[in-house]
Amino acid sequence: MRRKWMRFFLFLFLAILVLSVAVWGNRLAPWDPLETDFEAKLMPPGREHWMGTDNVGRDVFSRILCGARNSFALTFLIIALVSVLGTWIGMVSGYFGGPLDTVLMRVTDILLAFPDTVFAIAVVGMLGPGLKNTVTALSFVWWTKYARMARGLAGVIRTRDYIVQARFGGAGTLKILVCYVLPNIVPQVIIMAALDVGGMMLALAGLSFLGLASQPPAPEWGYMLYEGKSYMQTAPWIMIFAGLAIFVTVVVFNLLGDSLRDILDPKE
Amino acid sequence: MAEETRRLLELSHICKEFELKQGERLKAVADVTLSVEKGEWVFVAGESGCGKSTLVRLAARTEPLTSGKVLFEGKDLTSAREKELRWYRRQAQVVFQDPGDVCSPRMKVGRFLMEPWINFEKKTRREAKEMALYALERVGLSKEFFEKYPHQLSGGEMQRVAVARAIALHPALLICDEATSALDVSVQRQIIHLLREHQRETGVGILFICHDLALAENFGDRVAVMYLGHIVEVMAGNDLRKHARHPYTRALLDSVLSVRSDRQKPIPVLPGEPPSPVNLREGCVFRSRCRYAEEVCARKMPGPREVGDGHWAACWRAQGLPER
Repeated sequence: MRRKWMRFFLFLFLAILVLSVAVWGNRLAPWDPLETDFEAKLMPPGREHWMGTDNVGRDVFSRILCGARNSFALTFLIIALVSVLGTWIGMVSGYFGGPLDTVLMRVTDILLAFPDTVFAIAVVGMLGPGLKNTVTALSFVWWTKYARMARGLAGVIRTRDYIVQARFGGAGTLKILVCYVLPNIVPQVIIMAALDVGGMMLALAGLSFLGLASQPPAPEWGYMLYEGKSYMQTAPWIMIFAGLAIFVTVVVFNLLGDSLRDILDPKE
Repeated sequence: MAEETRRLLELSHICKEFELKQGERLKAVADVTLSVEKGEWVFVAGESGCGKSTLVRLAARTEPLTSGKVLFEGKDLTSAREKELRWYRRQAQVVFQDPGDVCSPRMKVGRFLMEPWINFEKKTRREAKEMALYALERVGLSKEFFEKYPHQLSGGEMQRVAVARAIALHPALLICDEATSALDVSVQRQIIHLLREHQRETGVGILFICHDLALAENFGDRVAVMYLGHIVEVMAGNDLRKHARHPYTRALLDSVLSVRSDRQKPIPVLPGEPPSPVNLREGCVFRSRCRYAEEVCARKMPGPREVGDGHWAACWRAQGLPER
């Protein structure tokens, strides 16, 4: 019991650490992340540039610090969007059932049949690269996961005695959804969202890596990988540190999601 | 018409069939006619799987009927709209078997008790809280329970909370689905006591589903015995042991174990299991286990026939059976 909480607080602490880097990153950065310096291009990690410089002489460390903000802002924006949207769609679908449910679930089936990233690439490809389109594309493929889960839970909850009791307590349908069904779904959604931070960050980095998401010269981790790719053999530090940043963040949030699940598990 | 106005809930020839795969039909409740009058405590007893719980859901109007009518205070609720059903839910309250499922696991007990006051009576939160605290006090629970979550309460405590809420708005009718079955005997007594006290004070009508004939005998103004979706006998509770007519009722009475039973005597056991309610054959539903079954019993299900004052039995041989 106590170990569970210890674990949770440890990962929460780490997550907050990563997040604070994202928030105050530009203040901490020793260099201007956009400033090019051709005298100092492709410098290996050293005293002056802790993580080296890239092909136009920008400080990798500063770019990673500042890039965190972009990566996180996008990740959280999309996850907030899809978890709220997906949960509501799934909940309504599962609670009412019927033809609406059938249609919605077939739609999610179709969307789930494609691999997330591939489908997102297709959507961004159609809409054209850019941040707005990336958000649209990823949200479009991602909401189904939440909808499926919420639908499953709502379908079970609606048959429970306490829903009948709620009706006999005078609650209307909207109130039942908001006050009785939703609170019993939200913990699962939070867990899923926490576990999703890593995946979403990877998907975003993937799109950026393909040059479909953020546009230069704005620092973004996935895009840094993309830029560093050409110098992988001569200046591997560009990719290594950007990759490491993604790796650490993904691991921290996955473990946080895991320990959150242990805590919120209703079987406790 | 005086009798009419005393009538609270009236179930008239209600049926509920479930369609299973490939045209198989499960008749959960078949042609049940039963009424509850003001201030009356009616028990419905029967084995598990006999359709008791479906009957509750039909009476509570949370499930659509296949045929028949449900009337409450003379109003037909069979095809009632949400607005009328809401009115009905204000007058009638339910208590279920499983105390662990009464209240949403993420809702505090206090909030659960406040709900009816906020929703039905449009009370402010503060007034509702007062009412909720009073309701807790009334069922003998301390104020601390107000801030607790359902899983922090024992089954008996939670069931008391459920009863507290059900009686809080002084409903005209209480529908209890095995409200005491999941509880310890001592807690059962508390719940029954609570209900009886409340009935004395307010004259609420109670429809109480259970499988405990001893309970029905002691507290039931009337007892209806159910078998495979049919009500096979209706009679006054205190007459049960002496005057039960239907062979099934008698078999049930024989299987009630008493604290003072004679250890030397063999315990009479009703042979066999109830047949599957899927695609029932013609004839009396009980005949496969009935030791008095005759040729007529295989032909047609007997309708309820009056065999005494307010005493009905659905048995072809009810008149001819030996006295107990």
